Amino acid sequence: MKRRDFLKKSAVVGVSAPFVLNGLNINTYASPVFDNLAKIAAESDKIIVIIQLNGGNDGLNTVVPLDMYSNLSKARQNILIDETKVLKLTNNTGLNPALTGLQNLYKDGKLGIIQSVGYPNPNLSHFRATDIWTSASDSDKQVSSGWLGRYLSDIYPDYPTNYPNTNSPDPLSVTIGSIVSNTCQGPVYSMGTALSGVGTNDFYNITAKGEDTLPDSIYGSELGFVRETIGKTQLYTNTLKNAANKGKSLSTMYPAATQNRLADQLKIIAQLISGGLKTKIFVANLTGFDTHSYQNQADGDYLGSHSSLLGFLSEAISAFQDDLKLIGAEDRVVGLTFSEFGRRIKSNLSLGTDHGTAAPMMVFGTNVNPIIHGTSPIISSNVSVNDNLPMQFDFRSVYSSILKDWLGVSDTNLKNILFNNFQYLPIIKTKINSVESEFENAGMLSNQPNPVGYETNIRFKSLGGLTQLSLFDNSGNRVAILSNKDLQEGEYSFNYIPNNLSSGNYFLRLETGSRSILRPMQVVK
Amino acid sequence: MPDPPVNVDSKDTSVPIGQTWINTPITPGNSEQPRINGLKAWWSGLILNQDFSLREKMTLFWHNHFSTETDVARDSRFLYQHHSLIRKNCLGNFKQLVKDMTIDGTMLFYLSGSTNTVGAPNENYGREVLELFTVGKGPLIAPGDYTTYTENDVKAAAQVCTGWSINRGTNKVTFTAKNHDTSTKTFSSAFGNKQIKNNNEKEYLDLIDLIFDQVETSKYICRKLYRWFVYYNIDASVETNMIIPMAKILRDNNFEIKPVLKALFSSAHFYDDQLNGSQVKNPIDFINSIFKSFEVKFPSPTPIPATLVVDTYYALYNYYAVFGIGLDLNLGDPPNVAGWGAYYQIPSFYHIWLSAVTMTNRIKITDAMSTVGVKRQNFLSFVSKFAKPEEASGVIDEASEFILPAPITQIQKEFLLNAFMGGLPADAWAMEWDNHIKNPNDANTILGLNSKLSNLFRAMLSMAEFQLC
Repeated sequence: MKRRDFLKKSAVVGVSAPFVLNGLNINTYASPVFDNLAKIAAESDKIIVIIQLNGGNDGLNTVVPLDMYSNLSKARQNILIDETKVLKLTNNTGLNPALTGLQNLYKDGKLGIIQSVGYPNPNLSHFRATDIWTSASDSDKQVSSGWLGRYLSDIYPDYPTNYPNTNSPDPLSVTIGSIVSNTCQGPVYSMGTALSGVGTNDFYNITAKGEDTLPDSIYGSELGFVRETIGKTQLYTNTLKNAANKGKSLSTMYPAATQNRLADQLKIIAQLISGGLKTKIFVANLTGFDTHSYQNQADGDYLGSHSSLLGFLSEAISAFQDDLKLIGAEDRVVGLTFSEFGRRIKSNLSLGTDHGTAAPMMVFGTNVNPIIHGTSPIISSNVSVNDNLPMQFDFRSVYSSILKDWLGVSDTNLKNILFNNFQYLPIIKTKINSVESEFENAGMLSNQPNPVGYETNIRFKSLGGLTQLSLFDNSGNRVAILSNKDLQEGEYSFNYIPNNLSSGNYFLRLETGSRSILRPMQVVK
Repeated sequence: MPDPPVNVDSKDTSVPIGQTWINTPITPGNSEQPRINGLKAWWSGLILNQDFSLREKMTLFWHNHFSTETDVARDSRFLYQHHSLIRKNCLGNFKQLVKDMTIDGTMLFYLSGSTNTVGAPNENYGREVLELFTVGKGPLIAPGDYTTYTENDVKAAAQVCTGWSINRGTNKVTFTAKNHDTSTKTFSSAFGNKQIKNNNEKEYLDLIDLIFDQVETSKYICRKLYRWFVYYNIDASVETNMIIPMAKILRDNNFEIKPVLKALFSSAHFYDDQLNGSQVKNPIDFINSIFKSFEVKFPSPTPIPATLVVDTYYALYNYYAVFGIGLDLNLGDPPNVAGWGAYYQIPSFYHIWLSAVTMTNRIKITDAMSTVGVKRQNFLSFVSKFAKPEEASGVIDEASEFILPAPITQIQKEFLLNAFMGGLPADAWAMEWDNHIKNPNDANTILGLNSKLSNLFRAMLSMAEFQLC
């Protein structure tokens, strides 16, 4: 990509130019070697399937922290899942009883869980939080393009002019549904198409013609958009129709059509993949997770709206994974779930939960590291209605690691797509990364005295390289960055005086290597 | 107010077919669905039969603004009351509407107000009334601080609204003092650090008054009106020259909507050529524009006709309501509490209406309507009113001027002429027309003319221009 194009894009995505340009090596960026590498990676046959759980999924009732169970039972007694019903993955971690299919995938080494994923200074509005997750922006920046849209736009900078073409015959992304996911919104153009089904009625040849020069006005530019949409629809309808006709979904694990709206979508994706569609990005979604009330039917009963949603999720992913194996695409697909936020630790009196912050993400496929990244969220013994989970991992670390290890994006380009460098996590199996589940954190981070009156001594270990030590409040906000620099591997300590902090509960957060550790710290003045 | 919806489905045994159910409880064991379908069909009928008034456009505006879903609420009587509240006040007072909406049965259920009690308040309504219905959300300027309100304000608003519940059996909204949080609620500096003291069932009124004391509330709703009627992009100049003056008119008129709309519709900006045709038609406007283009008249069920005929009308209206679903506007069921993305989702806005899926569905509809749908009714009578129906080019000139948002070019007219005549010379039309004038009842001539017109309108309605208004 030319520098001019890059600057143009930066302007469009609304990022201040100095912010992006600092540390960006233009020469590296513009090098033909890099361009070729990116293209080669893009032309591989790897596929990513994003599953959006709309509404804010209750993470604590999805991946249940068994080691925090007694405190959890105080905070959400009315929606608590009976400990004996929880599907145990490890001693510390279990799944909601509705997730039997995902439990099996975990046992088969095809499911990974990333604990407490969020970002500093969370936004509790559905719409803003969704924009943050789809755009991968900081919470105080407005970015209108999506993270995968930028990934695609970097590889195909001239899209949509002269697309489809022989090198790129298929849609760059396919969202199942009627609206292209914001995740696939490029800096200027939507980098993909939407498809509602693969029945005969879903493919209709539209024959709109009668175009001439566009008027030079707002009307003209809107008209240009409509013509572009019609044109791309005409062209891509054919490739999608061909793939759907050639392809076949083979699994018998799917429920009957319309019984599970997510399974219906994933089945379409499997059919298109088996039909040879070269699209690399698919997006599906499951709505209904905004469980303010009656997420359980009654006190102590885990069945209810949340359980049925998770049942859909589990059944759909299991059938899809089975299908991928049968159509011979198992090793080519990685799936990822996300939701705009988790829910409040403390339940309300309507058998529900209000908007919250960090929550687990799931990744699935034969190429994911089938481990639990990180540790259980810390639940205190006296949770108040204001308390929210601090992030253990930044969601952009997840995006960044998948882009790098699965889609082969270079470090330089990662920074262009995600606006910053993020912690690397071994989410995808590679030759070099090690596999460790629920690593031992003892001795990694501590402070004395705790509670803190005037001053405290903080000790932490660095695994070498960029090491960040920060402080979060109990609403999930990052209130201070205490240290953020390249360190040699080893142990460090320093004295900290929390001058600006009022009394209350906080978390120290250490990010080093692929680990992230949280420790409660109380301030009493 | 129009006559209320009536029962058209024998599966609803609570009232006879043709009689309204709005005051009758559903028979125990009966599903709410037939009534909800009827409510939607009734509403579609009102849209299809509207005259030149703002009522339907504004009713839909408020439905999008105070978004609720029939599929979630599932209580026909509360849903009808909710709809009536919007319809009655669609050109009324915004502040009063928010007050009434706060204790509306459907809204109480939809945003969990009906289970919001002291002890562990449910924040659902408290958040959305600020974020989506009134002051709107500004940038995050500090942890939990969205400029125009804070996370603590959400909690305080939720506490103010504790104590309300709904009873589906009696169809009543009630306030229960013991479920109400009587503590003093303190708001952030965005609300001047104001406090609201316990005021029991009148306390929510104090909350809405406080919210409407904020200038941002008037600006927020004016931006939504602007996006509804003019264009999605609000730049600094539009903010200064349109939004701020509109907001002042709103405040000066104690939040009456009419003066603001009057000012908007009489502004030079509203008629700016630059903005002509700049909106992608929403699915309702799109469907309506097909019928309006050909002056198709729908039968009206008012006054209520003989019982057996009613369900035929409703089936007809419902047929068009179903079109809307395929175009992503399911009347009565927006995607979520924010309404349809076309009116808020950056950067796409109206473009959201047009994806590969909905674009295909739109053209399927215009193809069907111009071949088997409207054709059967009145293409011929439509063009008969033209100044020069005997000239093929005259038909194209006048039809395109009437149907498309802006003039088309000579090349486009030639494309349409080609589609119209299907390879025959243009004067073939004049000859056929002449035959028709001489023998107005000759069925074969009518058939031939209609078939040509069908070709013309199929091509014209599938042009990109037809998607805009």
